[in-house]
Amino acid sequence: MEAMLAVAIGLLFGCGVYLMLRARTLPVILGLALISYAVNLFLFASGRLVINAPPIIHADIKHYTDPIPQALVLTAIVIGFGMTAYILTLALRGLSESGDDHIDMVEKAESTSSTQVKKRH
Amino acid sequence: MNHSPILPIIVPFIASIMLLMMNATQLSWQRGVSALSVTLLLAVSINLLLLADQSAPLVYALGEWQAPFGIVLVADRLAALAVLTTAVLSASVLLYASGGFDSKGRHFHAVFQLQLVGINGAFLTGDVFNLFVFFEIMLLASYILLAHGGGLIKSRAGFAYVILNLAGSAVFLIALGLIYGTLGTLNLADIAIQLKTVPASEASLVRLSGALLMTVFLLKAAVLPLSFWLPHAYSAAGAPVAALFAIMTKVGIVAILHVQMIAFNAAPVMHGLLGSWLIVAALVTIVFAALGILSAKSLQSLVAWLILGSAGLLLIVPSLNNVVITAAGLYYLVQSAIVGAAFFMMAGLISNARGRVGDAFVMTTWVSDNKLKLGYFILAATAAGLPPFSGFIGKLMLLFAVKESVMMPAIWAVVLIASLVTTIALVKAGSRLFWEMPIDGDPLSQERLPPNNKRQHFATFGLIAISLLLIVFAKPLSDLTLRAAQQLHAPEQYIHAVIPHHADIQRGVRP
Repeated sequence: MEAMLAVAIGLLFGCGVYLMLRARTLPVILGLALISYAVNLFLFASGRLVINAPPIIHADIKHYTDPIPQALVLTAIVIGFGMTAYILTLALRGLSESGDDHIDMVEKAESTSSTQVKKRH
Repeated sequence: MNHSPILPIIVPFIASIMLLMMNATQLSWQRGVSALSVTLLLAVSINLLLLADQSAPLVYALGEWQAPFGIVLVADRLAALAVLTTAVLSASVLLYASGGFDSKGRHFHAVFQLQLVGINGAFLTGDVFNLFVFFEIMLLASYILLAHGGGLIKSRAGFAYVILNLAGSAVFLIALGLIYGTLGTLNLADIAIQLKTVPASEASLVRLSGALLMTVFLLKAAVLPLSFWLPHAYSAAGAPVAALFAIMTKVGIVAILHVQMIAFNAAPVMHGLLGSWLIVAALVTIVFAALGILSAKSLQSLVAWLILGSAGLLLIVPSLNNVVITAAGLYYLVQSAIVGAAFFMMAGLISNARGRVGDAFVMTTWVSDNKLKLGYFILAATAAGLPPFSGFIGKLMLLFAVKESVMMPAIWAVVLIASLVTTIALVKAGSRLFWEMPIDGDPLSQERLPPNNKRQHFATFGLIAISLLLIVFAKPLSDLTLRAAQQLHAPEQYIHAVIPHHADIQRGVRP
């Protein structure tokens, strides 16, 4: 199971980094989202992988899983969700102001240079 | 239990929630609540500094859950001093913003208070996961404040700033996962204890987690390969927002100091993590900032480069790791935050006084207001480090403190030449802003300028007056920073205050 999780984290990270290096706003945001999934999985694994065990420490329970990473992941998910929502609205505002979804948000007046930029990518 | 350490977090937090609910009410009411909160914040920060200065660090266990299992806030002298600096800055920034900037968009005051929650929390927290949470609160508020007022420039600068910081947050979480996975704790004092007994099989992972953690803090502190975001973001923000941001690079430096001095210094596994290369990065940052200052096209972007230069100077402190240098660095930290903020506000005032061209370095009509000229002169001399102003005292203390170091010739050469370049650039900027004017009349002189805004003037000159007070009270302040540095370099005190009997703690066997 460790190998599978490691491959999943690596794959998500690889795709995320690839998307983040694109020149359009939406792929960059998607890349960030993928990276945050990979990070969440990684955080989850920091408490070791245990199957079929409750996250509760109790005298009767000998076999348990560490509850702290689960709480940490929950916090990280909430924060990541809020951040993604904000960056999406920011990207939309940039799109409406510049008429283009390029990362550099070139102004409409410079439309000739922005088409050149478009061709380059 | 003494509740003072949580007050600098809870006061702006309550104000922020109240302000969110008061969104429909008149702006004057919102300003009133915001001002009340900042006044209270000033009072509780002074109280906290007085308490923290008396003896060991104050520890506040939330919900009485004791460390290392509960969440703790720790107010040592460094944290209390940084909180007071933030409170002073926020009071003048709020006054400036109440002069009309807050009406350019919704929710300014609520987000402003939230920003204070994040900054104060990042200074006061005693465990690294809450440091992450408070960083995120601070950053989320800063994203919104950066975009306040609108416009394409702000959207563009904001997008890059947000993406970069989100990537930084991902690295932060990986570091935290590694720390928890190897040491089994996230409490800073407990990390310090656990680091002393790291098995050899995990040493490289632990060292990697430390390196990642420092990378994130260096991103916030804007050291060179990670500093390209700062000039763009800070020069695009509105003047009062940029002034508040002047304290934000300092949050990264305070976090580096806390983690390094308390946890990493005594641990053999972290030996030499920052020492050898950080000093080079800091000096290169200062050179880069000096070049940026020379090439800036407007006053606000010039000040943004100045902030970068002061961040580079401050990074000498963690790389040389000596009590006297830390003490000098902390004085410079307070001084450069206040002067940087005042300079951003001054750029805003000059921009208002020049009408449509703003603070860009192009020739236009005379600025007739002599007060502005005097203020610019004081700030420029302080920022360049000319005597007798407080920037001179700060730089002099730092240069004297590094006298014993082997890096002394390089540091002296870089800092002094960078100061000279800064002086030249500021003189050039001042003469362009105040003295030069086109020979053949000026079409812009017909432009009707808005009347002087009393609040904005009062806020800016109040902060300049505080920077002058830093000269008068240099001795008590430098004594305080020396005590803060001594406390930082004796981490046993901090660790003992947080976890008094760590041998008695029962630790479960991890699955």
